Amino acid sequence: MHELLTGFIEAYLRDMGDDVNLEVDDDLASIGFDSIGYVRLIDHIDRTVGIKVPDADVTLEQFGSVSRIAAYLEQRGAVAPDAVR
Amino acid sequence: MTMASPGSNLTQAQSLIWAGQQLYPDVPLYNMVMAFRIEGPLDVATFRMAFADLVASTDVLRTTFEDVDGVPQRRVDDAAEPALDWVDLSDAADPDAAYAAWAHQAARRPFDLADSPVRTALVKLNRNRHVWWLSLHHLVVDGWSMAILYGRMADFYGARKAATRVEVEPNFPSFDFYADFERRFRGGAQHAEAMAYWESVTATPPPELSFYGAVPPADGDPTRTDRVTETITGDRAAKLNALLDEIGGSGPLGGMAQFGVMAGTLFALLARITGERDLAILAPAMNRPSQRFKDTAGLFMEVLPLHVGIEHDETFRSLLEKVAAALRDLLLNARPGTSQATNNRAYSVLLNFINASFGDFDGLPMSSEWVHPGHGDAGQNLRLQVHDFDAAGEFQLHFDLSRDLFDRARESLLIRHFNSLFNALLDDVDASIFSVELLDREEQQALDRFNATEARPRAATVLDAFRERVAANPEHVAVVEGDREVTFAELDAWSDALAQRIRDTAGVARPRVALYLPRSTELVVAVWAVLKTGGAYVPIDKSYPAERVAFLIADSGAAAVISDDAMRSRVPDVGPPILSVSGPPASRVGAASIAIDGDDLAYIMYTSGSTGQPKGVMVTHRGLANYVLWAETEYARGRPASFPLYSSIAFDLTVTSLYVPVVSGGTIVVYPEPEGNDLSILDVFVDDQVDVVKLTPAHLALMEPKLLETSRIRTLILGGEDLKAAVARAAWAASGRRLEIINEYGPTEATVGCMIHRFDPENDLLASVPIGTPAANMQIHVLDDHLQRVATGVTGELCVVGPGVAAGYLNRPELTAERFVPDPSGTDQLMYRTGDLARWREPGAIEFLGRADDQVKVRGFRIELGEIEAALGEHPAVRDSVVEVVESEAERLGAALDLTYCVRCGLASNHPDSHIDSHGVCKPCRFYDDHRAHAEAYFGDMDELRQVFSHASENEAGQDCIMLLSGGKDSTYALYQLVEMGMTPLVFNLDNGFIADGAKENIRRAVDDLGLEMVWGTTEAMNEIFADSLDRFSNVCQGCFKTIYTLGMNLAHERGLKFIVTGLSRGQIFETRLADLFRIGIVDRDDVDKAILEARRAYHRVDDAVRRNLDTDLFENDDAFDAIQIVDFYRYRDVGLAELYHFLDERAPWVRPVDTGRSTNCLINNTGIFVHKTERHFHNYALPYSWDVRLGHKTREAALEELNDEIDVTQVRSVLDEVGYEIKAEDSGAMRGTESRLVGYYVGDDATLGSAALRSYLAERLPPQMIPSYLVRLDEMPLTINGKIDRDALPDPRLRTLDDADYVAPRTEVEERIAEVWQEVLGVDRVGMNDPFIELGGDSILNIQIVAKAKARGLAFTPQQLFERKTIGALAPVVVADSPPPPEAPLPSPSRAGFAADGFATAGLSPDELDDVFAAFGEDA
Repeated sequence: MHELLTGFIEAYLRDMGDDVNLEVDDDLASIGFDSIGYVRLIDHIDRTVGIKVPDADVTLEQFGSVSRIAAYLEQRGAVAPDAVR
Repeated sequence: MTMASPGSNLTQAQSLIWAGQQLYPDVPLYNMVMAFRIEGPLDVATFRMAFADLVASTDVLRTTFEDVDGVPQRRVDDAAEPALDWVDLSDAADPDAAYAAWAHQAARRPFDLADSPVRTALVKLNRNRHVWWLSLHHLVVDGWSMAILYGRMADFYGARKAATRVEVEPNFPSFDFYADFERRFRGGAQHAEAMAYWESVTATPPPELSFYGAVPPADGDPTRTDRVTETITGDRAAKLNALLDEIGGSGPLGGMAQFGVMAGTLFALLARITGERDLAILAPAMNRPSQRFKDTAGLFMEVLPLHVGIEHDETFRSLLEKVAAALRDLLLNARPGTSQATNNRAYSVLLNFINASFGDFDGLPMSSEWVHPGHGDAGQNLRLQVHDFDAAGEFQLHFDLSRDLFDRARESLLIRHFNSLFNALLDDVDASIFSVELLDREEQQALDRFNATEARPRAATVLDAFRERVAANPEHVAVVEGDREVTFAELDAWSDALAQRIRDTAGVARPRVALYLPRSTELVVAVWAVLKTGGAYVPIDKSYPAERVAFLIADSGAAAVISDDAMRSRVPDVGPPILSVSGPPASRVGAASIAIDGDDLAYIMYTSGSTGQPKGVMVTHRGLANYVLWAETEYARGRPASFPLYSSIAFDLTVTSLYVPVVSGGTIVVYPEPEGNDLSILDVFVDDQVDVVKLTPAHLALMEPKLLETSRIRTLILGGEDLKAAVARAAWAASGRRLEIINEYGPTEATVGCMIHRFDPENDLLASVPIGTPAANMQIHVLDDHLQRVATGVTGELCVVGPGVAAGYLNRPELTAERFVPDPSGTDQLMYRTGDLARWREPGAIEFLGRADDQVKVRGFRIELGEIEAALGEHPAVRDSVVEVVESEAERLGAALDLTYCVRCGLASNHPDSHIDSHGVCKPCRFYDDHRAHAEAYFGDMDELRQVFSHASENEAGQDCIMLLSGGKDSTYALYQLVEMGMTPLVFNLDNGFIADGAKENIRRAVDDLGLEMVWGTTEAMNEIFADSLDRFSNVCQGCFKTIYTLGMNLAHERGLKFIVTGLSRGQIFETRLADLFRIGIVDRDDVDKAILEARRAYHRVDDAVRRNLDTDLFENDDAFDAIQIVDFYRYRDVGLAELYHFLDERAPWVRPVDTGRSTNCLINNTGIFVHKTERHFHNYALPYSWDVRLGHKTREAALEELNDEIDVTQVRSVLDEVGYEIKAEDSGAMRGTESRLVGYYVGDDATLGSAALRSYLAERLPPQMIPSYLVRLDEMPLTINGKIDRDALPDPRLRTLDDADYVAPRTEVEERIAEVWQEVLGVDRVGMNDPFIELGGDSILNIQIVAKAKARGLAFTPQQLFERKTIGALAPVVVADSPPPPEAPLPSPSRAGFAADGFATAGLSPDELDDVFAAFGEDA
């Protein structure tokens, strides 16, 4: 799950011109990941993991870093698509 | 799709703003202005150093923009140093007030983008209070940038103050770097994917929104906006924050939730006040795509459309969810460079949301204000800017409202309605958005008063009322038909006898009886007889085809049919026995007394039904009595009233004429039915035997005005369709202002009439006469589709409650349940939903707005298009069909009474250039909107006039100019002003033999008062000149003016004077000098002056009576026109009417004419007007006066009043004899009006099915008024993308050609050259002359490129002209091409229609000819 999230966020930021080497505990806000990024990430999660994230769940506690997002998704019963295969 | 210009280094978002600015180059549309008010001691020197640091570190503050061959270019100048102005207001008496005045001006100053997009100042209010004023063009910043700049400024100030090392080298990328990134991104796949999404979104643009019925005014400016600010604080802020917590307001998506609540409220508001359901607004995406751009100032924001569909059961919660989902989709596709055209008028609402934190200024308290520059993009009428600058959860809501659409009343309605919805949302997010009450208490009370109509009818049924009259006055004549007279007693006895026979024949109690007999005394007897049986009659028109007659008899369940000998054979054999009305009984039969209840049916009247069959409306005795007895009090007013019975009793309108005379104790005058076309109404007016006539507006328009002049008729009741005020006014005037004209509104389902308005010529100034107030015991509501009362200004459906409401449709329970619903206010009555649209102009004043569905009115007949479509569809060879209405010009008898007048300027629809649009606005007004700025640039001030006159020199008499003095107010005022300026005019006027004594007196008094010399010019050829002018222009003014100018020029030459001053008003200047030039794209001041000069030369060289008879040698020499200048005084002086009159009253011995009309100055004027009206069918002063209204020189009402001439025809004839002119093509004043016609389009399987065969097929099924005027066969039905019939694509039946190919090749060299430019810029292979620019993918940016590229090739036109004219075919005639005119170019033709009464400038030159004039002085002009 970490790879999926990190890969997506890094690719998104790279498209936007930033080469970031993201650590799972990095504070996403401080690297400029904003609402547009989050909306794309949530869309990506929906399409790859099949979990719909309500806006209200996108709190700093649950979505502030890759590790927190992964924990949230696991708690929602998510399985990374790689594991499914 | 709008895309940034190729070759430009602007971003997509910048390109849009650039294009928007180009449309209004000098208007502060995009000024982003912040005022930071800093409290405490501020070190100004340090502040200056900090600002220099800020400029050094921020590339956008050093950026300029320039147009290079139509392509905008952005340039960063490293050395640029925008000035920080110092404004010290501390010495002002009231520094805050001084600051407010200064700020108002400063915010509105436009930018010269080639110089700098920055304007900033430090304003001192007192020692401890300063404002840092920062005004930036939107091209270089967005809202977020303001916070960046402020924060950085505070940092630099702090660092400078602390004298630490200041690092101005930025540690973030420049905007230039972002622009490069954005450009590369626009070339990539991700951008293409996002654009595909946006194209799919914008493929279905939202409907146009109407805000409380607002129409832009004459002196409008679509860019002007007023700001109204609301704050959300305290309790509301607390509730809002609680709601935001619930729906996810605190995390990274918190901004989205806040935005969502505002957007949700806005969508709810739009749904409620516009009635639309597919809504869209423009919304910003902040779009600083990664961390490194977070600190870069610049325009990063992308503006994108946000679409939401509203459902019938929408709650605030469901709406917020929809908005959130739509917002996610928006953000997913909000990639760099995806901005959509903000100047796209389909998106007229924008919501902006800025939550930026500004903080203190290096420890000094600071409060910020976003200053409104008073203007905004013309594309949006409503912009809501939500700010939460201190991120404190308290919001400022700035509503920036288009001043053209929101007057004070609408402004306060909008804010009130927004607040009502917002508060309701905060109170209960699960409430329906449609349940929120938008009416305030006062409005509710006003509506209650409007509907307080309780009155007790004097009888329970019309039969009771009739019997009272029989008892009171048995020998009074009740019915007259030719020589026959029937008294009340005879009518009573006769109908008793017939009732008895009906009962015997029908064999049932309360029978339904079809009445199929011509209009006659017998018909009246039959009506009363049926009522006396306790049954209901079913009227059937004589002209109906057999199939329809059979249907009506069968559907109504008639137990008997009453007919006469002639028609009896035409009664289809469908069962019920047929009765004739035999003669009056020899002796009285006893009247059987049948008890009648209010619920019993009185008649069943069939109206057109949309599903293909007519539907029977069941009218009750309660309804009939309520209407008839109310109508008696309103129309007969306590006296016996005679009415004519001249129309079909199958027509609802006739009920009034059938009953009101009888119950009032008056007389029905029967007009028998002729075979064929029934125009008995004309006989009614010729015979003049009645007091009151009920008729349709279409009938009234047929009247010969003369007949109304001396008629006995005292009251006209108009019903059946919308009554135009012009029709009512004309009839009222024709009657010598005597007639009472009553507009009655009501559907058959509410029994004839349920609303009434007495026409008031003083106050009924809108296009349609109001429908007024409810009838006795009736209540009228305007409801939305939730049956909620609509708020003031909002369109809704007219609904009727009360005893007049019918019992429903016979045998049609579903339709009945749909249209007759329980009264929502809880009474046990039914409410009828009329399907008519209306709104409250103010509580208690209803404005009727037409139909919600396909029902149309043709000559007063109510017709469902669906019924005709169904009949067409029943033909075995017709595969598909659709029926439409077209407005056709129709020649009318008598005067054309049904003119419409432009709502702004009053120009009448019979003027050939009027083209009044759906908003009621004429083409010249729309033209003026586009050219106001040019006109303002052309007009100057008195300083400039002094400058002009500084070249004046005195002649030996000490004079320095000629003043043309007509003796009217304008020229008299101008004369006094000239003298006041120190000029010494020689006063000149032409004595044309018809100058009124009053005018001569005024001239003499003024000249004496000022001690000036006066010269009266004369010519013996005056009559010949008048005759020539009448021949060429159908007016006299043209010849007179040319004589004045010719003699004036000669006089100036003789006396050695260089100036001739005119008193043309600004309206006249615009009309005669400027309009044509602007139309062909000559707008620049110097170009205009040159073109006017050229036009003067051409004007004086036209071979006409003036040239033949007067000395014109002077004009052979071009230099004469330079040597003697014409100066229009009012070009340099803008003076209001009131001020002008005040000045004349105070200063001049000028006597105001009693009649302010123009005819008082010159007595031949009326002759010109009469000839013009007769020959050209419109008033020659209509256009000049409309310009006076536009320029504020007259009110619309005054113009209309003054155009309403009373012309003495005998006097006109004698003047024409004297002058020697014979009127051409005299057709007794017939004028053009419009008439609705039906068009049936069909797709046939059988190629041989012709329209004639189809027409006769329809004639067997439909009544005559429902047979389409045109039947058009199509190969296939044009469809929209959604698969619906594309009504706009249906061919105009009047313009059909055999060859339907779309492509039209260029026909002229100019068209060919324009087509080349279009093809290159638009990237298409072939452009046809009729291909609309927009449909070829054109937009504002491409428009500007086309204009630039065309200009480089010697083709001059403006972006507005391209937008307006849409196709090359329409554009080419106004393009100024650089090629010289062909040598055989015709002489300027003086015959151009619509030519102004005064002045000379572009006189008589067509646009093409003006092209030539313009081209003659070359490309540099």
